Amino acid sequence: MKASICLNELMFLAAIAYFASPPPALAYLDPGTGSYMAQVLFSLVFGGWLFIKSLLFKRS
Amino acid sequence: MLTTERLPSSFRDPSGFVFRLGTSLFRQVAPGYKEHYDQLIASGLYQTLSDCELLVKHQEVDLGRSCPEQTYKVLKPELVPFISYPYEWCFDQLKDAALCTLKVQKLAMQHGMTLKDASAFNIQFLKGKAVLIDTLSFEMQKEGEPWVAYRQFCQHFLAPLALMSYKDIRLNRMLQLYIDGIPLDLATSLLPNHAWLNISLLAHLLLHSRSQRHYSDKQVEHRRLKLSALSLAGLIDNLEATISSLKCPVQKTEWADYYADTNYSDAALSQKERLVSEFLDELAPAKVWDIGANVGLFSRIAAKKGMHTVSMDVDPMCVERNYRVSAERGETNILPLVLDLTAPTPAIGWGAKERLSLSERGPADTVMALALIHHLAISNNVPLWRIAEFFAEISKSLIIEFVPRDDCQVERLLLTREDIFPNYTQEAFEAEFGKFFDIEKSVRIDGSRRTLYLMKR
Repeated sequence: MKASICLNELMFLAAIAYFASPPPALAYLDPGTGSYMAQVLFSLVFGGWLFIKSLLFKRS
Repeated sequence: MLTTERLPSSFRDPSGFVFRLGTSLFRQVAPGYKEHYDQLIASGLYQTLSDCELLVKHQEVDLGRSCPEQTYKVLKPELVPFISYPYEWCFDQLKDAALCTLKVQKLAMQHGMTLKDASAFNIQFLKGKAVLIDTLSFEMQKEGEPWVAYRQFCQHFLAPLALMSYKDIRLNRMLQLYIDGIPLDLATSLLPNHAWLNISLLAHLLLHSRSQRHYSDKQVEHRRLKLSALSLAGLIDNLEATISSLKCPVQKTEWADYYADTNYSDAALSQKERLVSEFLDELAPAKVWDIGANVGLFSRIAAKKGMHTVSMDVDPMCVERNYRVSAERGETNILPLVLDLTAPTPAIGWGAKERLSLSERGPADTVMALALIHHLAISNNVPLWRIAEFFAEISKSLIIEFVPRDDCQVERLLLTREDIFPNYTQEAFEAEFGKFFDIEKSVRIDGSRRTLYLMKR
């Protein structure tokens, strides 16, 4: 379990470093840099999954 | 001219604030929020959300000279009969509040807007349903911008729900300690390893928390990355699926099977129900608090009469069952809540005024305390005069059951402990409560040694 978590973390941090850094957030809530980074990655992953699901749904 | 009194809980958001004028409640919309408010109305989002009962309805009103300075609009929202807090909710209530927030966010995105915060305190239960009460929580969605409230949503909803589901149902009480939600590093340290087999929890909690830690002391080069609408929709969709998949654990708790183990005969229980009903008819309260309500058997007598009834119990599984029954039946007058009367909800937040204590949300027109007093006096060593004093603080009238020392439930409480309660007698009970209340009626419940009282202040 621990090894798989470490691998996940490494992949996550590498992907984050590769993809993005946050814009200034002019919001009354501080979205937090780490949360922003995480959201960018998860949005890409889950958005991609939603796209695939919609294609599969269309075909069926 | 009446003066406006700003609510102490309404100060964080510069878009406006809630204030009291006389006995009515209003929401000021600040001039700086004009374009967002206009978009909320013009886009049809307000109408859609209020039609779906996801957002509290309001009317725009003109208060003339009583209007606060620098105001774009004044709104008069529909009143919520009792403000409750996430740390008083059972699992399904917090889950319904989370799903309400995500539904609102989805609809907002379809109308070119987004929720700028996702605080659990912005959700209340109105007519039995979770509803957003902060009309100023919306702003226009800037193309490609992430969801600014993502971290707050994870802290206020996902983390406590995961902790309750995977660890212990009582852990929602942590929201009382952490007013802006449970810190993700703390939540992840408490969750068991098998929680990470759920990929979405792994992402939104564990990796999210590690990302927070990784970037906590780093300066990053600001370069704009656009997120597509589909990516954001995918994120919200996944959060919704994750929340929906979390289940309330089946936990054996002290009071969950109370009515299967009570010493009442069917006839005695029926008589008690009839007496409670008669006492309620005589008092005709608008607001009832049933304290120690278990699964809400007697609360429903009041609720069916159209009285708004807060049905409180210390046992989260009882409250869970109570809420599920209420949701299944579509009951609109009953609000089940988790409450420990020996340590009732305190005032917390900034200046200890941001979130109100139980007493500050009272007094109730009528408090019902049925089969409760022996637990307070004997299990918790609270003297009768202190119990009477507290009930006088939170109620205008009282329907209370005295359970005497020779009742088998009291004998059970005394089985394993020394009897240090010589003053726990019916005479002492009447004398102490008589200092605060007029005892209007007292009726012995047939087939038991218990007595039901009706008292008024």
